[in-house]
Amino acid sequence: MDSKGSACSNPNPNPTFGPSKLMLAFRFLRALSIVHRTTPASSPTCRGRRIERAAYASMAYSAGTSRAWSRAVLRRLHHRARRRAVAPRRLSTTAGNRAEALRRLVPGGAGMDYCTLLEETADYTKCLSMQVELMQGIVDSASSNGR
Amino acid sequence: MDMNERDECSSEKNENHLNYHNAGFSSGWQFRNPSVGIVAGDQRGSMEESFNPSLWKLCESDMPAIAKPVPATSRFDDDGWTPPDSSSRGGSFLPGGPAILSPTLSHFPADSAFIKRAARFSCFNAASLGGMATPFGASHLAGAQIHNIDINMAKDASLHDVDPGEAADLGGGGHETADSSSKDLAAKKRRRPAEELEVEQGDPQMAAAAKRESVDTDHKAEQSSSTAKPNGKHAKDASDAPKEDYIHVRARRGQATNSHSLAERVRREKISQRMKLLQELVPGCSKVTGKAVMLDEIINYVQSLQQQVEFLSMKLAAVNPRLDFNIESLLSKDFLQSHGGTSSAIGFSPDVVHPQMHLSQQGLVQAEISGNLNHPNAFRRAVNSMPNAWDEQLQNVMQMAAFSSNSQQPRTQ
Repeated sequence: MDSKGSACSNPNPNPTFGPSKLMLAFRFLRALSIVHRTTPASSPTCRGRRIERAAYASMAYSAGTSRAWSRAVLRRLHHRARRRAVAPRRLSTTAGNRAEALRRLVPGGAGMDYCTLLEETADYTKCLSMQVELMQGIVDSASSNGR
Repeated sequence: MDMNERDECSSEKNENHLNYHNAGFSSGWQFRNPSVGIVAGDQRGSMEESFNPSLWKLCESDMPAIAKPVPATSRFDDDGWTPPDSSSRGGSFLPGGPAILSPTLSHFPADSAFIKRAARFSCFNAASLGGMATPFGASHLAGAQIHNIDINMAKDASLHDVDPGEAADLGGGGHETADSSSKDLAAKKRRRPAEELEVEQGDPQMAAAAKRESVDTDHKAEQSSSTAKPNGKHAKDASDAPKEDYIHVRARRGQATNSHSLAERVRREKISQRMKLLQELVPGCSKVTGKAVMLDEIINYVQSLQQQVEFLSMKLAAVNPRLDFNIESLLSKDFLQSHGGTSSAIGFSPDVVHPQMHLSQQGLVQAEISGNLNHPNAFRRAVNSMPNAWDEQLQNVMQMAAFSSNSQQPRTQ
């Protein structure tokens, strides 16, 4: 309700959408530390998967519930609907319909009409690139600092 | 009843547009009634009396040729009830209200789209004036009834062809009225290209009548089903603004003709707007022309980002203990600073939190937003940083964390 209210009170159609970097970074770092602490002995792939999930979770939390994609991500995370919840691995963009491909890429895009899909894609892309920047930064600083 | 309502309105918010809205409501309601045939006669009469003065005072006086309710409708369109993302585009259709109405009326006296538009207005208004639900309960019910009719009618409408003459009329009318109404210059400017676009696109559309017909049928179905939902919702919750407004926009545009071309235009406009937005976001996409190629680019970009996330998380899983240490100390520092003062807090000790894992951080996250935002650590600085300054920011964070961990580590453990 709150998010909807704020969305409606905002007169600007495309405000600085996407989450604040601060919160995204904070959430992700915390999740990362938790993952590292709680899975000290597990295999790197398992841990990597958890980190990936944490990345998407922190993205979704930072984006808030006003976005369809973040709701979809959170729903999947909470219900564990699928093993590979967030990012479907392979998809063929060549197979005819591009909108379908996009729909499969963007979480929660399945039932969307085209306009909404594009809007969600924009927001999702923004968050995702932010997340990638953040992760890249962490990796870089870790590899330069840590060794 | 009417006086009551007006008082409520003006006391709730001291804004003109609410009055406009009011006026628009009443006259839209009046206008609809004769055409639909569900009439609450006394209501109509009294509304007319009480609202017309304010309506005419507030609306512009230079639209003499158009039937009374029409400017009211456009005025209604103009005010603050449009959703965030339609406020820019909403303007472009303002002159369309009056413009389109007259041709439509002359061509199709009993046009179903017209009825439909009326029905939409009624539901929107009934809900948006939520506080005054009681006086307008009747109108809301009527709106719902009309809507039922409307779904059937919409299907009919989507089945018969638009004749080219109508589209042309539509364009012409748009120009005329846009010229005559001196109210909203920006809206006019936006409207004109749109009209021209429409006129241009009229011919190909007519040529591809069969194809478009099927598309429009789909569109119609979508539209009517999407309007069917909020009708129920309105009664419960009038503050559910974004969805309503979105639908409202559609309705407003659909009202003009038997609506194929208008609805399609709205859709196209929206899509191209979003495409532009995406174009800015996706690197290398600005040079590309053509939507298909652009979509390909977007898909590739999203896909690559997702793969990058995957890759980086694998990398992060491999990289480590030292990083781990830094982050931990950083976090413990955050805990101390944000919750240290209120030691009665909800038990945010790391021990409590950790078993729950990252999947159930929600409560923690929410609780921490407030605390986190008002202390000036490195994160705080990161807010205003430029996008490509991540590295330095992170360095700062790490250093600060390392520094502070020395002093504060004893307190945490």
